Amino acid sequence: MNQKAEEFILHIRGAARMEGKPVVTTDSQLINPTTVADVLERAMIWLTPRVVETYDPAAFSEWSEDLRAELNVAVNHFRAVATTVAPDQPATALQAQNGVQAFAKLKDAVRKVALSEWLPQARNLINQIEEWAKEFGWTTRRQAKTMTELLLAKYELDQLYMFADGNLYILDPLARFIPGGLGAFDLSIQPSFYITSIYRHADGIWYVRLDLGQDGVRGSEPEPVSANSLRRAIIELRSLL
Amino acid sequence: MIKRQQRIERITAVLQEFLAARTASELLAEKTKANPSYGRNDGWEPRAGPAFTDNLEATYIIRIYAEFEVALRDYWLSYRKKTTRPKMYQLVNQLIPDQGFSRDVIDNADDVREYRNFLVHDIEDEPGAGMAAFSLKQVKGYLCAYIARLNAAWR
Repeated sequence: MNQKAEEFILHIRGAARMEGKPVVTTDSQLINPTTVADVLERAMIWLTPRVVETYDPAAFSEWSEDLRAELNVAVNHFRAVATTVAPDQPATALQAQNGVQAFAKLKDAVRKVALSEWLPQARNLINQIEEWAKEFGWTTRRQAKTMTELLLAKYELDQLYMFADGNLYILDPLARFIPGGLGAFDLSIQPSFYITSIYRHADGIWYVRLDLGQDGVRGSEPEPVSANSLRRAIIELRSLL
Repeated sequence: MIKRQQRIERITAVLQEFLAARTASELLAEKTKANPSYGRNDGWEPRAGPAFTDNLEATYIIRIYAEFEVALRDYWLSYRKKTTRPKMYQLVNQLIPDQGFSRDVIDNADDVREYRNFLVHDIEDEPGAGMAAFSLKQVKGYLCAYIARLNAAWR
């Protein structure tokens, strides 16, 4: 994944987070009215050309022409609307209305871009692990899971249930947006509280955390996902029961 | 029981206390409606009754957050074996989460942190560029979702 593309996607997600925050309304005596006024002024803070300043069309060269064109139009439209808002003045009602519409189109375009990259990668991982599980002689089953994430809204991925040596293990999609990575799954043994992470690093490689039994000082060691590391993770999870 | 579950149960217990307190505030409102000076024998003035009701949810949000802070600081000290005392902003956003956290879970907990600081007029951390308001049930859900991602080996 192109680093500039990821940076832009995260930037739009950050703006969507700002937009999604409801305004504070309360009659509690604990609320400071001055602070409330500050909050109200910040309510449209996402309506600024800075939201799209990290956009570089070249960063999206790996995407389809249709998606790139849609993204380009959405970015340019948002920039045009946001530029009309004076930086030192709150947006007018018309500017706010146009801004909300332009931002909705921008979010939709970025959502499509992000999902078109994430879903095939996530599904490839599920397919690969299912294949290894079958090679090991484990029984597998899939269950559709509806995911909900900021910016990506609802989408679907499969959970993979694996019955191995008398235990149930679940590969469970966690999220596309994680700190220090480009998506993660939980790998757990059931029933228990024990989970390890399988996550996609910025280099595009999937890693699994091993050495699960140790304390929290050193942190568990990530290894690239392979048939061998998957089997080790399964053995380590079982050893924690 | 592992610590992670203990902390979640403590937060759940605070929510239960709030629900009981809310019922108590309704009963109190009935009493003070019939007799505005109902509290004088116990040393409180009539205006304290409505104030109690108005501030009830905010008070319990602050309490639940206190449980969350204690949990994270204990995780930092006893599981991560750190002796430093970082600001909660750093703990919530940077020092504790790894790739096993979704950004949504981190962001929700951080929004609660910001809202709690707003409620107590805390100036430890800089306010963010926006702020959300939450019900106590949302606060409980978001903070428990965060704690649920802490390592089960924390004992």
